[in-house]
Amino acid sequence: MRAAYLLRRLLYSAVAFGISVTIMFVILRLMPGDYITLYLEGIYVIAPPEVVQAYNHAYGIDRPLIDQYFSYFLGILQGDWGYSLSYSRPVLDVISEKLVWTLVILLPATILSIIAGIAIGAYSGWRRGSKADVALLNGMIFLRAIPSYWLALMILLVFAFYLGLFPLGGYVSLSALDTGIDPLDVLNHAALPIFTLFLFSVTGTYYLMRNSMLMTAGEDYIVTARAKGLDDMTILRRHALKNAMLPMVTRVALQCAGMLTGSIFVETIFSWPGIGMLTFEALQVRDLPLLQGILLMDTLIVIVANIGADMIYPFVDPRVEVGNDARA
Amino acid sequence: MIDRRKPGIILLCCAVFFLACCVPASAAVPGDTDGDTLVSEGELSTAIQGYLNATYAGGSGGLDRAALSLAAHNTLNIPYGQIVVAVSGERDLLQPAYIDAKGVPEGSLIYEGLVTRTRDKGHIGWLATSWESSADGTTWTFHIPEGATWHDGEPVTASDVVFSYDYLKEKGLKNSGVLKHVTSVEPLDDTTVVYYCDCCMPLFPDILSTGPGVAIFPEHIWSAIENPAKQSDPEYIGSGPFKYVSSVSGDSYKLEAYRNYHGTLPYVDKVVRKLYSSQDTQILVLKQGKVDYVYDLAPATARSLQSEKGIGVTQIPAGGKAYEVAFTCDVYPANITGFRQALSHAVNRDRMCGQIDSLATEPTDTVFLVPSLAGDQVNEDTNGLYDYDLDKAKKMLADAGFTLKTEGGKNVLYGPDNTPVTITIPLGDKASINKVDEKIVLVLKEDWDAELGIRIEVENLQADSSAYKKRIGETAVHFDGMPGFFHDDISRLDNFQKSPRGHNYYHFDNATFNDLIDELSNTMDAVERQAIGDELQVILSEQVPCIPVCSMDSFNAYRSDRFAGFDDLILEGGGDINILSHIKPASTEVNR
Repeated sequence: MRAAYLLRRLLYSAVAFGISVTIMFVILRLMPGDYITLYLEGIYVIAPPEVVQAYNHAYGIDRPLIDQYFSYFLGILQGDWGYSLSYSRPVLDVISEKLVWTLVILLPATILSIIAGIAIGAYSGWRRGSKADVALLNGMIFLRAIPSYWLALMILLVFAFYLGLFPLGGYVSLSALDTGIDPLDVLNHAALPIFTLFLFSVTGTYYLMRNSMLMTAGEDYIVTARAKGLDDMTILRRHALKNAMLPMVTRVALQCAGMLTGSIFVETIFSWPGIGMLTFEALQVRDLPLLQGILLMDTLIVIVANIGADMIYPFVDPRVEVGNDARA
Repeated sequence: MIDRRKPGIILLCCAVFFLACCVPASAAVPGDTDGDTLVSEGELSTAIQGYLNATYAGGSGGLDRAALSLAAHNTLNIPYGQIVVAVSGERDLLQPAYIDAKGVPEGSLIYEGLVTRTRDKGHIGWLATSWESSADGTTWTFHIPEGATWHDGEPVTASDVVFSYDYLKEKGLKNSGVLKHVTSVEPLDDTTVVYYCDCCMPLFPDILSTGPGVAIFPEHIWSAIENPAKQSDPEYIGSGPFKYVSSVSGDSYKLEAYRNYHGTLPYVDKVVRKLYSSQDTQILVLKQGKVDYVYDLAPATARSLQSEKGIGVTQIPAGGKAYEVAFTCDVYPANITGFRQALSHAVNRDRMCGQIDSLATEPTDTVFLVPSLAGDQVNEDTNGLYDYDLDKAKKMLADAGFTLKTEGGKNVLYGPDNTPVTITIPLGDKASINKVDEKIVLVLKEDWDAELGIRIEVENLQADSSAYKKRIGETAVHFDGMPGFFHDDISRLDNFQKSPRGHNYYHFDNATFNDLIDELSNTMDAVERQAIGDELQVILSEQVPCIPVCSMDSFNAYRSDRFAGFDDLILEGGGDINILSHIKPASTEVNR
């Protein structure tokens, strides 16, 4: 049953992916302007028409749109996501290289924010109305309200510039040019970006967990557990938390996908060479093939994250059986 | 009795202390006593004596051992130390497929072009030691030095120059458009190469060196590569003063002085370029001393650094953009010459400069060329003709058939067709950077709207570059913000020529002007060219297709406590390759 469901989901996801690719292809080509000319104007200031023509031909822009679409679609399926204008390399190569570095800061930040958000949110919801809850809630509201760019800059200023505890940017020290990349050096450089991303995302997890816990705390089985004489912490750990965490599964899956593009600010401020900074650079120089590839990758990740969330659910809540028809 | 002198003395000491702290510490090259950043043999000899005296004879002063070593390196022109340069984008780092992605000689320290350009429109030979042209400008001969080698030791010959041209054309690389008028390139011998062009090319060295220019690549490496755009170059073999050492993808790369360089060896041994994507971060690392040179700073940022100890700031006149109010000369009411002439007296440049940044802009009172760049190419007779005088503007509008009326307490200008004059000004593209166009339109509204009765409507197309480009051909007035070097030579007046390809930005079409441009393109003699340029500027002053507003300066900052010689070199121009080849280490701290 589960296998059949998985197959069905994969099929639907493939269709969703195909539709996304088509929409992206159409929208990006409906955008006004000739991106080859715009890109070449970054080199020539006024792009010579013969060079524009040569590049239109090289990149297949002068072919009929339907031709371009089928070539593009087939190329994607075969792993050819096009060629970056600014890097002069396959788009997939460029994205893969940058994705690794984004994951270096994204995964720890996401895991930490999930753990912290769940723990603090659960405690805050369980202790609703208490001084701790009020302090935490207001603290998170304040944190959420801070503009992300400003927060990243302040963290950089305080911890890297004034206190000198961490480097000001990049992912390695200059010594890497002589001795190669040292993982500890990378970790040292990643600390502030991870911390910043953590602060950005922990608030969302906290709110959701707190609200979920507020709803769970009022359930009958919690009252029953109390009536049985269990202490508060035991009820929280054994009954309330597990049930309150169910909505978090979807949240976590989508958060992982969402943070990928949300890391633009962090990566730019900390000069971290990930997908976020790649997107920023591609926008600056109008490297359309690269932007297209980044959007495609984002779409793929969201689809995979959704499937992943669906598949994880039964393990979190055995009552849920994916693929079961709701009718008896 | 109160000693009134005491507070005064205290104040004086505080002032001296304050001033001392505020004056940025600027290091001289150890041993250099005449301030020319070079340590002559005589100066080195004096420094050695001072050292020996201090070390062995109980004397005082003198350089320490490390500083003496630095002085000796300078005298003998042995590269020393390392400079770290901040770059803002990964496109400024080495790309694996460099030959396709890049190619601008002044932006590369590894690869050389034949020549590079200086600020006064002269050229310094890089790979070429000398060059000459035929009388008709269709043939250009370049001489490359004997004994020049690539970084792998192979000799650089004329064959490499020929190959670079053929390869660029055959493979359709990004810079191939630069050489569109070159029909062939032939070697005369191992060190002489000739470019044959299909038309007169009076500014051929310019074409080779700027916007974007071309570099020379080694035939023995690239001839074997079928698809250079897909080729990852692991070694970056060039002929420039620096050679590739190592790189960390997406972060930094290191070069070192090429000891067998055919020209003058750099004084700095190593150059590291490190990526700091945000300008805020670049300033912080400069202050922290992790980086020695940052460029393209915003004026306010640069000013904030001027009082920092150990940091020098260079302000390059007209190094940024040059702004103008441009007319579309075939759109009403800009199609009326009298209207354009009248409005040329209604542009308050001083106020506009004040709005943009009074300390970083210079009003331009010529007809197009920026004086600090074009120098004596500016026709003095056409300077200052567009003086700000609203009364004159009103009178000239009346002479052109426009009528100024007062309706409901407001001035309204009626055109010859008896309808109120309304002008739509699109905002976008290059003039929108730092919202310069918004600041210009603010001042224009005060004068054109309130005083002259011209209704101004603004269309914000900053997010849509293509729509903006289309719109400027439909509206009577728009703003332009091209780089300063687009206004630095009389050859740039071809911006106003109606070419066979169609309209220029201004839709300006003057038969005499068009013919003069053709004549200029086919004239080699500098005196004759200047005479034509003067005529062209007179036509522009009469026809007024545009009203120059101002030019903006550009700013760089560097560690003045570690390096000497930046200021003059930056102002000379020639890009990074000129600067980084000639600056001198001034502190032993750079030996890292």
